[in-house]
Amino acid sequence: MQVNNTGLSSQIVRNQPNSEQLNQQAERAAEQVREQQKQQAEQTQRVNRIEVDENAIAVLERENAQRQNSSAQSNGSNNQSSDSQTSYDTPPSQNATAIATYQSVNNIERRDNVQQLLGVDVFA
Amino acid sequence: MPNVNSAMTNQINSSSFFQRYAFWFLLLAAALLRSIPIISLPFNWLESYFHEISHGLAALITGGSIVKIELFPNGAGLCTTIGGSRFFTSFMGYTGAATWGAMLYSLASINQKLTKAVSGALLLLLICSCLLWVRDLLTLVILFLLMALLAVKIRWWQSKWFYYGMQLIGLTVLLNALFSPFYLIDGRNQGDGATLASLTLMPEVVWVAIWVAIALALLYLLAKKQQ
Repeated sequence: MQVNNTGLSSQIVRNQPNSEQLNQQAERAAEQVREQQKQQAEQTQRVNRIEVDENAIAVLERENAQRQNSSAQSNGSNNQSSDSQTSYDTPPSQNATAIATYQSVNNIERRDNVQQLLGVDVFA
Repeated sequence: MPNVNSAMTNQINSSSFFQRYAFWFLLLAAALLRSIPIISLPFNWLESYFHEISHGLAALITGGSIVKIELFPNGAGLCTTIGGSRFFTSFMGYTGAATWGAMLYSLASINQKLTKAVSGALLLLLICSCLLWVRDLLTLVILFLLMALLAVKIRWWQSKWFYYGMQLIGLTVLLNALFSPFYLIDGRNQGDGATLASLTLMPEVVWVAIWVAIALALLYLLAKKQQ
């Protein structure tokens, strides 16, 4: 009975990692470790970015409480307060008149330009 | 019988009293009409139309042409022309409106048939204006309303109130033409007065005074004619 060792030996040779493969594996492991360290470092940085300022929170809470109080006081006159809020943004009548006058002057100039271009006269 | 006679004489006296002072009654009615907000609108439009058509006709007479006529709901109007005399065209706006008013009153005072003919001519002018010079829907609607007003009046031309109605329209147009120039004194240098001032170097106020004087003179002539 002859046992042919060549096949087995070749299999053993195939299964045994050579030095290059070992190096590659070591590098991969090192990279994985580095990535994990990076991720951990980023997570710790994220946590550190949220700076909780207790004074600021206290100020915000006070403001909220004041708003709630004022809304409760002006509960009966809600319409008036909303009107005042909306009218707050509207420009005063003097400004509106000034804008209208300015625009009318602009229109006059444009009309004059058109008249000069086309040779027409406009009579009001 | 005496009662019937006295009633008839009273009626005759009252009608003659109205006829005698018809001009002043109608002038008062016209002044009242002008002050009523919504009812005065058609009369404002009519005055505005006569104002703009006078500009246009002046441009046509002096060799120009009318591009378009625009009327606005608030009684304002615009007439766009090419060529012609700028001076004459500018001057004829308020002058023309006052003249149209006086002419309507005078022609309506002669007899009913002539009043009907004048109304017909006016209707024709409005139709021509719509066909030739109106370019926007709003002006078209305003002119259609004026045409409807005239058509209604022509329909009942045999009524004795017909020519009083035409006289009233004439006086309202004349009164509007009398008071409209005052709107020019607003310090904005716009309108016919400003155009004439730039053409002649005479201040705008002078032109306003001239237009008011013309309207007053026409009113005086009508009042004198009535007497």
